[in-house]
Amino acid sequence: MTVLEIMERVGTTDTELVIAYLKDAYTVVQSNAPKTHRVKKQDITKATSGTSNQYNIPADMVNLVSVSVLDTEDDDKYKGISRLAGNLIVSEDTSP
Amino acid sequence: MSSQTNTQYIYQIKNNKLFLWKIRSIGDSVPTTSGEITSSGTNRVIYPPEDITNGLRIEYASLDSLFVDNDPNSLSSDSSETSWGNPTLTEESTPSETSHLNLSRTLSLAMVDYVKAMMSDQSGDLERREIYMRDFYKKVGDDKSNTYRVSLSFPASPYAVR
Repeated sequence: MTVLEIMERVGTTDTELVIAYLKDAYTVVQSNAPKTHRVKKQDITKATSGTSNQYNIPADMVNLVSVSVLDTEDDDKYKGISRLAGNLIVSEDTSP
Repeated sequence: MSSQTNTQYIYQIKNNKLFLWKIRSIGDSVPTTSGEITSSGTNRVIYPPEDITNGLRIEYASLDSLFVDNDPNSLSSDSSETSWGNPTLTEESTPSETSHLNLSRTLSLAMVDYVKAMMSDQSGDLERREIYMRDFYKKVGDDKSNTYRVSLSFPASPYAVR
């Protein structure tokens, strides 16, 4: 369905406003029932400081689907890992 | 070298950072450097102790590729049951009236409801807005359930009327 078809169904001629609303609607869809997924990979590096276990989350992420770590001993498969529930005792590590 | 990563790694998210830890199981027969013997089955988390190239994989939903140049809901070729092709879609970074939504037909109709709801909101007609939003969520749910086929069966109660 084109943007024009949507504008005709709604009964408006304001293209920019409709496009803005469509982006908003897509945000709601991706938040609740993701239609398309993207994948980004990063190198895991041996930790050397208190922040070395921190990795960037893609800035365009709306909804996290899964986190996996490569298993090189099992034919290089990415295996899903669990989220840590609760908080650790150490909230900030300044001298690892 | 990494093994059994699904049981050995865990993560936590704080703001825009992902914190990664490895679980280290400690047996009861291994004293620490200070002579402490930990109880059996104790798990501790440590920072990643190894390098793994492209080791962290994050799968997520984003807002990319909403507008494309071709209709995603029609086949580009359809000559037989075994010979058909999907359309080639190129994202349009500056959408116009001729841009296609890269969504199923059901979701495209949901989008119409959303735009109608926002138009009603703009004109102050909140009752109509709620009606359109309800239709929007219904169509989003329909689209999601269209990809599932679930069959349920229930055992008959011994006291059921037969």
